[in-house]
Amino acid sequence: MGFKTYVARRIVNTAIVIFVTVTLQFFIFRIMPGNPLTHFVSPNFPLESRRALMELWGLDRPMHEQFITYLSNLFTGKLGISFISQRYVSDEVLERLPNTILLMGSSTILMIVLGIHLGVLAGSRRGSRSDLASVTFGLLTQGLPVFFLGLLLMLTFSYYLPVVTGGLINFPVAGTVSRPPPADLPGYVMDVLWHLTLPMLTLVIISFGGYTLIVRSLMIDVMAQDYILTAKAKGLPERSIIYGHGLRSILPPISTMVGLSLSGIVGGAVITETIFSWHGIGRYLYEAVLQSDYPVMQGTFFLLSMVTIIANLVVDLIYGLLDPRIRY
Amino acid sequence: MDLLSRDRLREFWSAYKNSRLGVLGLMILIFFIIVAFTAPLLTPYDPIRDKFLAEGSALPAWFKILPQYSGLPETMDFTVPSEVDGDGWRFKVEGPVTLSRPEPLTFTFRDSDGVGASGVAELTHSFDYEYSPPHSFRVNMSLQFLDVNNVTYSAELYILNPESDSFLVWSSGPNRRPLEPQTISLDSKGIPFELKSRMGLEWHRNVAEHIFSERGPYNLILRFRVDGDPGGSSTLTLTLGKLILHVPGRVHGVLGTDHLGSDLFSQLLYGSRVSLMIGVSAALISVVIGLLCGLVAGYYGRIVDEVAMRLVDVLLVLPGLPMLMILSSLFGRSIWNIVFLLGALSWPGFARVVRARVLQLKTAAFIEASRAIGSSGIHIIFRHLLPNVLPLAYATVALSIPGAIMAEAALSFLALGDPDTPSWGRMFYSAHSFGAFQRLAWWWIVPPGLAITLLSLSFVFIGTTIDEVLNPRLRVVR
Repeated sequence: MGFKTYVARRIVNTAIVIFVTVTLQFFIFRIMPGNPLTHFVSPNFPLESRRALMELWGLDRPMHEQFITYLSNLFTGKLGISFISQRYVSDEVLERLPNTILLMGSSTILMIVLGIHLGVLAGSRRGSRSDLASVTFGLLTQGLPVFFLGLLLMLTFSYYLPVVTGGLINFPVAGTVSRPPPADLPGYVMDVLWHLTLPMLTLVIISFGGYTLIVRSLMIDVMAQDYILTAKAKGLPERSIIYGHGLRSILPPISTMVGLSLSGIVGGAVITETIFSWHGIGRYLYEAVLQSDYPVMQGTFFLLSMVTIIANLVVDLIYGLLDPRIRY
Repeated sequence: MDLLSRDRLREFWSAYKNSRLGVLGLMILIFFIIVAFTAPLLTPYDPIRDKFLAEGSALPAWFKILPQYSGLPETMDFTVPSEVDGDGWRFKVEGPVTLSRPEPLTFTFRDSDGVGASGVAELTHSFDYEYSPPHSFRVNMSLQFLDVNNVTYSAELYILNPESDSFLVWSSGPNRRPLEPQTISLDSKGIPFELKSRMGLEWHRNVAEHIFSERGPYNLILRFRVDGDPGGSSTLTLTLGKLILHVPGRVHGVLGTDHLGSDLFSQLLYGSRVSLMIGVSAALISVVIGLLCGLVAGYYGRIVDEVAMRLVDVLLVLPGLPMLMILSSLFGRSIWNIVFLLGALSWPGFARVVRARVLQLKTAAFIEASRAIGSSGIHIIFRHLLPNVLPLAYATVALSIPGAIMAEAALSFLALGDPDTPSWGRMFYSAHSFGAFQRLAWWWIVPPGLAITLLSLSFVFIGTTIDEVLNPRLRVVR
């Protein structure tokens, strides 16, 4: 199988997944108890505007026509109008998207780098003290709920230490940036980073232990292979054996692992954004669920699933680049 | 390895018990199971329904060991029975008032001459208050005034502190009509402004703190005054029920109380029931679906396989928690809905593993043979394939429980769980929403978190060990 065929297959597969997701979402919001119309047209609107909106969205037409309108709305339209803010969901979401990408992106990169580094370190020095420490830590984080970790960090760094150190160590309890935000650019960046620290730490700590465990066991398998022995016999430096021969050959399964963990990271980000009142899509979804704001629920879930689906496609493509059996 | 026979089980156990991690996990699990079963014996309180056991957000009782908390009030709740002397009332009367019945306490006023006489009945009950000031107190008492003819009457309740300052906390106002038996409830937070200003208090000041500012003997005084109209005979009969004085403590139990005055320790104990029940049932549902889907998809192949695996792809890729939040809000937040959703969303990973194993087994000679003698697909799946993939299931059940436990806790923490279920996530929700952080109330936040972590870890340990024993070639950590 050539690389081009591989890419084509992945893209077709992703298209199918997107289609199934979108279809599932369409039906889930319409098979719910009660009149489906009440889910999409706020009962608070006056009767005429309700009727006008229903006509605008085609909610009075047969199912298959509705489905087509729904599809074209999702990919070109405004994702509906929020019951609460009465604004287009797409406008609300676009305003929050950069914050979510900042939080999820920075923590994902950090947890991958940390996880791979520690996993390689532990796996290539089996039985050492650092190996034992990373295995223990990795196992412990398997049972740690993300909200508990987030709340513990918050209790320590935003409530307890400010009291103990007299405000010397003081992390914000809520928000993405101070109100009012600092006027100068460096000050603004520092302020955002200061707000980002705790939510990012929460996501990183909760996830990198699991990565470490997987990378470690892959590394142990690889280091027992004959070609590593050959490399050692050739007298290559240890560094180049570990990274050049060992790590390089386990990169494809690592990329699969990253892809599979993405949906969990999104879930963790929703909780973290809620705890730290981060102005992102996850918290927006949560607020929408609390207020039964169906257009927002549908729009934000669509966007979150698109983020993970596209990220998975990217991971698959990277896999194709990394695995020589696919490239050639 | 099939665990269904006794010999196999013994063999399994002898291998299992060599794993220190596995035994540790089992011990933690047994501890939580015992707690779950004996919760009603370990605490007298209902975790949710018993409210106002003490002041909201009360400290744990053992804080009183520390000098700065040693004076804090414990919950005082005493009943003054409707009788004289003993535990009941001392009384004195003026004018034409007589004690007509000692139990329930009944006084009669009778002015048959019609001279417009006045009568007073004053009842006193003494008690000791030995703590620093409370935040509030409540009084409940029942009264009835019958046989009311040509009189104006009034009732007043005073509290007399050790310095003999008296505080009027309730007054009926003059009345001329009969009063059927009724309970009068008085909350120190709702004392009217007029009475407050009579005590010399500004409107925003706390009455309970002001009245109970001293330690020592206190008196509750109930004072009834009757004025007969001149001309014609006048009568009145007063019957007094029991009186209850409740001073909510600022310390309570092992872990204090939540914002509604419910017992946090009993919430912690009962939480183990919820987590165990949800974790185990959701994991079982998920493993059964995963088994069936993997078996059917793997054995029948072609279009069945294609459809099943695309569904698996979708479910694996979609963000689980957001999906759970939306679905549980659409389907309703009962505990069984959440169990069902957790099970229905978490099977795809296992289905893939089962399918891969079935694809390997399908070409094995014994399957070919069975097919050659004309066995049906269902027969082959359940008789030959299932026993061979079952060992994968035991470990998967244990390993999917932590995810279910944490997902339910996350939902409850987000206030999207079942509101009537005392789960550990709910404790987090109340701590986060009602000021435990500002108070640095670690005893409210840390215990449920540790409990979730320990219980989840116990299943991780058990699952990893089962996996190592049953599927030695598949084990991850060697």
